[in-house]
Amino acid sequence: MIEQLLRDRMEAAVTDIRPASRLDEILAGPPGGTVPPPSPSRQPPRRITLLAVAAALVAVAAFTAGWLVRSADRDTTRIENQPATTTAAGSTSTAERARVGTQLTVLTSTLPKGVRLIDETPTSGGDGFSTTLRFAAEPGTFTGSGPYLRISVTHADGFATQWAERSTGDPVAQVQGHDAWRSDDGPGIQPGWTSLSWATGPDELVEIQSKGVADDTVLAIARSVQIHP
Amino acid sequence: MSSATGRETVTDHTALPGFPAFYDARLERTVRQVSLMVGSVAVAEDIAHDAMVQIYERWDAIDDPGAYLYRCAANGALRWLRSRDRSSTLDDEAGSPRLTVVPAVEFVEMADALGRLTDRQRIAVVLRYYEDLSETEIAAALDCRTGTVGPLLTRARAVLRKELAP
Repeated sequence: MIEQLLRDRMEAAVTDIRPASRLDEILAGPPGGTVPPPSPSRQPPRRITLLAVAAALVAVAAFTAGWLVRSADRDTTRIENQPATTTAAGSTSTAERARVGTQLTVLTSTLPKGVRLIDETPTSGGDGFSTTLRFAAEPGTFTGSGPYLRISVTHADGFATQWAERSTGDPVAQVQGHDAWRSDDGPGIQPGWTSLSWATGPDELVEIQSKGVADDTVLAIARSVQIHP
Repeated sequence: MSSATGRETVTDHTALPGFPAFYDARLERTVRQVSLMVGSVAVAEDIAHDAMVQIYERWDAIDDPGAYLYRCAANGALRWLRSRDRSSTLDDEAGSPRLTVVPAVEFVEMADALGRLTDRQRIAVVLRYYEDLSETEIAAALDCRTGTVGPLLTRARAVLRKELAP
């Protein structure tokens, strides 16, 4: 009887979890080049390959020129650039809100040298949603020494209020008028990572988890984050 | 599935069943499984990704990718559980607003119950009752003797019977 109860409860507990695919990241190979390239049978058609190369070159040019770089489709990791129309400095942004999540903008000039947007993961579950952007110098497993960044915004009724009630100690800084707390040993924080969190309202919490990034740099990144509902 | 010449392994992906199809078929289930093991969806996504990377790196040398995935995922979950701050409990994390993924109520309750178990009990229970693995398969995933799994599950069931009692 307990066996069937466990099966039912576990299945119900995780039925809403729908992870985003990172297959392209794996097929591209981790740093060090130990993974063989995809076989010819798994390579995309030449026309798509050429388009992908062209898109990559444009993206590199956009980063170099400090343009606005924006992920355009929430369902893919496709990146395309647009001329800077709202800000003089370059920025990296998540997609327009399509299904779930919130659009984030981060100034690329605040990121550590060589670090770039790797992927974004919109997630819904329970009674809220979140968007997470991951940054690194190269796609990989995020288990090395860094520099790595995970910027997330989570939106759910009363979520930030609950977080504030559990926060201890004094805030370490102000981020856009909001008190921000830093922690490196709390629940949900992997060993070696540091968390900087602030609430923008009772229902919205922004968190930057980092590894191998100076506190001042993280704070500068935090102050550049803009959320577009 | 592989051949070796001296120190260099020769890989012929055209002769292999597709890793992408395996990835697509197993990712969601693996993330869900590891989420139960560690009590965090965000952490589970990273552990599942790492497991898939390990499989891809050894794709042509693995006879049973499914079994290898269970082992990589279980090892990843155990490593994370052992290395995390022992002062924090799983139920703290499950209810923590620091989570980047909003958990369902059912997930929080299940994570709370599983948090009462030891690390190895938790892994064994998830593999037995979520993945429906046999004790032999669980022993392979945990790299232990088959005879060790039964007592692990017995003790875990006793704890969970109290935790999940209506």
